[in-house]
Amino acid sequence: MNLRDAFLKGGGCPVIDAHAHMGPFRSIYLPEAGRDSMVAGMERAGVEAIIVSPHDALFGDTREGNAQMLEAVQACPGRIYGYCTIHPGYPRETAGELDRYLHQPGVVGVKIHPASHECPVDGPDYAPVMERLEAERGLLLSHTWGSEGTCGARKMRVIAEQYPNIRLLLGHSCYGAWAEAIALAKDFPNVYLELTAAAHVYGLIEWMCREAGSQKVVFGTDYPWFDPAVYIGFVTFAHIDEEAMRNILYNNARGLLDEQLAKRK
Amino acid sequence: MRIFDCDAAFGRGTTPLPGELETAEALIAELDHCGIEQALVWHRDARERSAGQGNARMAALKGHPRLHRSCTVMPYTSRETFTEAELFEYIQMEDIRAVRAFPLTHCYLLDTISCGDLLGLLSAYRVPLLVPLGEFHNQWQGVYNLMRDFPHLTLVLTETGCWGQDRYFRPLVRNFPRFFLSTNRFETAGQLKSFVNDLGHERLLFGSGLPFNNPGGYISLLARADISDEARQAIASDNLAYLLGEVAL
Repeated sequence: MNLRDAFLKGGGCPVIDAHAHMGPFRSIYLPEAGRDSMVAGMERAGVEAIIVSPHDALFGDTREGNAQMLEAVQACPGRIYGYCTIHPGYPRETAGELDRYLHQPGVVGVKIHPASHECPVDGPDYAPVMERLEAERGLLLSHTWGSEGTCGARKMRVIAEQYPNIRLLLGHSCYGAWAEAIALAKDFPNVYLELTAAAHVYGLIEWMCREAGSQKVVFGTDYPWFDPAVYIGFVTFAHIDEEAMRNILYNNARGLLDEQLAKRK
Repeated sequence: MRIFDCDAAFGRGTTPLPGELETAEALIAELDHCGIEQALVWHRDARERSAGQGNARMAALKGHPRLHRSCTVMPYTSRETFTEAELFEYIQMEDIRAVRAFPLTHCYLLDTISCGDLLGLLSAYRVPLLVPLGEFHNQWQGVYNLMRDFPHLTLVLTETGCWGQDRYFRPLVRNFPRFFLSTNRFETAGQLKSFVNDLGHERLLFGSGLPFNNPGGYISLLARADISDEARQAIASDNLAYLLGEVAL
């Protein structure tokens, strides 16, 4: 049985979701927003692990959201990993939040959202984060969208050039600026394309694999926004071989996770 | 699971897409890849070039066993297209059982003033009208106004957005028995199960959104959803087949 049919029948291969959140969100009906319902949803969809940054960390009091993240990581070891979210609007808190969370078991990287926090990703308020991650070869998931703006492909290229040791996940793959995002993943060994929101575009996964290689594409869903079953279908119905599907669904994220987890032992 | 897709297109448009389906043959090959038996189709020219050109491009599909044509309509106000009488004669003669509208792209309002006669006849003959949400002026407010003014219209809203828009569309489902939703962009975790549990399965139609959307996600959603097999099959094909069978020309 091929991988696509195996997933349709409830089997498949292991899956890691490298872009997840947690908790309710103001403008979206999210029936699976709570931690327990998310874990149940992971079981149903066959998702082994997720890496979360709670909504409260991104759109509320970041300190509260980071505390929720650690609680979830500790409650569900091996199933829920965490990103420490940094809000550049409160720069005096940055070092403290990084010190508090970044070396906790199961906290594997940093999440930033330059669009919602209205701060250019290459600006001075993000520099301490970048320098810390560069020194530690850390993992960074950044919201990215389009070509221009606070976190479009142009600014992400600046970051990729300036910080070659950061493992940089382009969240949403610079949505819409596909050619630029794919070029980034192709040009920089440390840059990865992340599929949240992007995966629905017909033919895009094939384009990413063709140009950047399947080892540079990472599965993510914004869970509990998007249903993992939907996104697994986007990958397994794409015109790519099964090795590429396994790379996207699991192997690439596993490699990134293991690298970070090894540093915390 | 038999699948009858309510929203698939082919043709070459203004902007190149990451995945192109320029011909009906290319579309059929993709339907085969996905295991989709039949599709209610439109030509991209109907939206991006002109309604008439798009409709003409599909003439060769008359009687096709798998691809069922839908006709793109516009109001007769500027005398560029069919009169209402000619339209209904045409779709009857051509055995077309659904129509589409792209009011924002085609620069008119889908309302009583611009399209009252057309919408009244579509309601009377129970001809389904498929419209992407993004083609409504004022988005959801436009949909609400249309259903308020034409409560018996069979409206299939496509491309409803991926970010759990239930607070907008559930009141429409509750208030208007002829209001339907396509599953393309129905992507929120747990949304399908919650919808079926609360409102039933009768108002959902499988839509792939080809060649803009990857159908695999919506097939996987249906296959894996924790709903009954009866609901699954109804959404996959039976609801659409029933709607098309209801057309009373």
